[in-house]
Amino acid sequence: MSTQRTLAALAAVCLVGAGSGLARADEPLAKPGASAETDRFTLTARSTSYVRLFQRALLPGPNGAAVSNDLAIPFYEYVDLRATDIDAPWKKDSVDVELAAWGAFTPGEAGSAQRIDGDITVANVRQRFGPAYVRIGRQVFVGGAARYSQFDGVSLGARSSYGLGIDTYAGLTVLPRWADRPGYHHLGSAADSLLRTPDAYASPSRSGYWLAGGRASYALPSVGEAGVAFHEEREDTELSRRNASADLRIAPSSSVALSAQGVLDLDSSRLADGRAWVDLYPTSTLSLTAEYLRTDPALFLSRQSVLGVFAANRFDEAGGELELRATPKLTVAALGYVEMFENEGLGTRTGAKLRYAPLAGDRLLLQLAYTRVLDAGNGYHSTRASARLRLTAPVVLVAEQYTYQYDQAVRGISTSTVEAANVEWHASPPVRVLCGASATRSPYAALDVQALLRVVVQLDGSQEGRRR
Amino acid sequence: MTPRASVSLIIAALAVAALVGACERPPAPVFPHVTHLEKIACGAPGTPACLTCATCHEGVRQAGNDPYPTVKACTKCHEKDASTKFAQAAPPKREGIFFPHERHLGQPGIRGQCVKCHAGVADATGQEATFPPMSTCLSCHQRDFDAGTCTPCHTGSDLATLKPRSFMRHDATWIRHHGPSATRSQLVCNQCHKQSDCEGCHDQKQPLTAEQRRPDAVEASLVHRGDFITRHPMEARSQPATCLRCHQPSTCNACHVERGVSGGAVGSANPHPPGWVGPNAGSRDFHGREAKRNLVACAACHDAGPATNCIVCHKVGGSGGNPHPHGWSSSRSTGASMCRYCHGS
Repeated sequence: MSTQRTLAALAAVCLVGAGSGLARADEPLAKPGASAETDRFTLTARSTSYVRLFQRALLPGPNGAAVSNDLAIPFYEYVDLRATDIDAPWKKDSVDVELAAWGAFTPGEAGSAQRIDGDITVANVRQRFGPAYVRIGRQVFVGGAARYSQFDGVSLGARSSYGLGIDTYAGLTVLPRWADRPGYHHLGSAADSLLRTPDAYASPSRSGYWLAGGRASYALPSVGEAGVAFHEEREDTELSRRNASADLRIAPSSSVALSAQGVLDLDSSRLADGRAWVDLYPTSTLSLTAEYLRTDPALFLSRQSVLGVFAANRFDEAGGELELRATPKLTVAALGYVEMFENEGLGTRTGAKLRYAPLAGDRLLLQLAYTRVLDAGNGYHSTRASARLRLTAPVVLVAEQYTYQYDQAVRGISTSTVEAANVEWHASPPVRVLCGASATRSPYAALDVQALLRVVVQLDGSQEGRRR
Repeated sequence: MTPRASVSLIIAALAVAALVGACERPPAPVFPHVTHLEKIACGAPGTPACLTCATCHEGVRQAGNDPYPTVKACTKCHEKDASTKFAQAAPPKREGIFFPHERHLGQPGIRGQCVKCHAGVADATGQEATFPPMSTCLSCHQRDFDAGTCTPCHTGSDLATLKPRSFMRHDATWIRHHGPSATRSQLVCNQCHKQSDCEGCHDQKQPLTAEQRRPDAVEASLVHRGDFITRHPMEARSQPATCLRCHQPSTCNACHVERGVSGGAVGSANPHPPGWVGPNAGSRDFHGREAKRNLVACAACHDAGPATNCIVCHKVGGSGGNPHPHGWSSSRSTGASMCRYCHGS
């Protein structure tokens, strides 16, 4: 991590700490029976610390090399701050702030991991002006032609009382951190002489990585909504993605909703992703969904990927899911999908899950799940059994067991098992401590044992102006 | 643990749960509206006046009053045991909703009729919820909902703990389509969920996966649980586009390099079978066949832009021939930098 990033991560941590401290000092916590004149705001500050206690994998490494044992105790810190309905000088209850960041410190043998690392996940301020908003900072835009985009920039939008809506955004793309790992380089061809040394693959300059787009929509209350969207993304100033999309949802009644969505790759004029589905809620206890999907995976690669020119294969998927709350204590869920690969036959994905909560308040929860996946190359059966018990008010126990049976052995082994258990102690209202461990036997580990310590501190300072 | 032992353990756990469940006390009784509104002889000479909603919910028409009855309402009929009856009625848990009844009762569509919103309350035996579902509120307040205006009807601190039941139901079938829903309703989602909540699952850049951070979330639909390392090639082949919703091919290669299964790491094992690159294009293991079938998997290691080794052979005049499949097209000119590597300047 660069010094700049380290400082940014540390600043984020300090800011959250300061933010929660200020909130506690200046803004009193909610009191029962707050009067109508009381200002309204919500403030949440959360710190989560993780320590991975140990990790062992007992299988030979690459080319049969013996695995060396390194002693490392990685420590991770996640901080999260959200404040809503803050007063701006020009408008009451109109500003929202969100900040999330993480930091990592690895004493001992860090291996390929960096000793000190960190990043800011989200850091933005939103100002609301009635039905309009503007958000500035590191943020996320989801859906439509954008799919899922994280960027540093600005987004703004508005909803009119006639059902028209518009959202736009633009900014510098947040790049994957893993691309910065020391020693990491792409597989290049020496003959092409572009990557004679790994060092030739320099960290990208962010200035050429940007994105912009927007979505316009029209909604009719109790009928549905339709929208169109556009998204353009650049890599090193060259085209990475240029997509247009359309989406539609019609809900003729509260028990039926029809939806469709299509994403068109404008560079190649092909449908990257098209899907239509129906959601049915025949009763308050039964949900059903059925879907048809056609997708072209190569179009999800960057247009800067030479590999993108090698395939035009599509695959189709059709199937559905259901959830039935058979009794207040027992819930049954099932899914079944068939995948049709062009010229390659069929794949299937099926499963079922039982959820049983025999005690009031979900004090005891038992879950049993079965999944069957079959693709053109291999497949597996899996079972998962989970139990969660609130032993006493502050102590919660969780135990899980997974078993996988592979159709064709992987590295000569056809069964994997994972056992995991953890105990959480609600030490005080804001503090929760969890200790967990898992043991895995798989084709890649004769025995892999891991343990984790998690400490959560959550501070809520909220005040409601009017309540009844 | 063997599969047989696992099944035995599961059966034993379910048996214990069934036993515990059978021993649980039945739920406490709540107020039987149907008894009071429909089963009491009333209105005739010698019988009491018929009850209406306002008989007990006296405060509902005046601003600032609590809409729930007090023990005083019970004393009108239950003179001797009013306190006991009131305790048995078990007033429902407050839902934290700011709802000015007096303002709504005067609306033209309601005209003072409680049942316009509290449909079925007159037939309620006491076990059903008598709060109207939120879909009833949305019949008038859809515009507020679409604009993400959840407060002050809901209180800000409650929003993070509520779960939709009568619209946008967050059940097992929800997770598959929550993305398209977020497209339409970003402002709505943002009332309860922070953007960092999205990043909690979708951000590939964090050092711990969502499964590692939430080992206690047994009900969450997290995809990388259990022995995902062994399963991931199957999952990727089964749903090739799904991985790319969160990951970029460079993510795959970074891990493959670290674990020595990528050509990008010195001394890596070659993962490809014999015959992978050779003259027999009809071979089952020929690389072109797999590339057409699952190009995204190739990209996991070989997506290096113009530096990929694919274009050593697959270029104009190269032994690999034209790499563009039937139906391939691009709006860019051959002068674009990516095209120039094969097509010249």
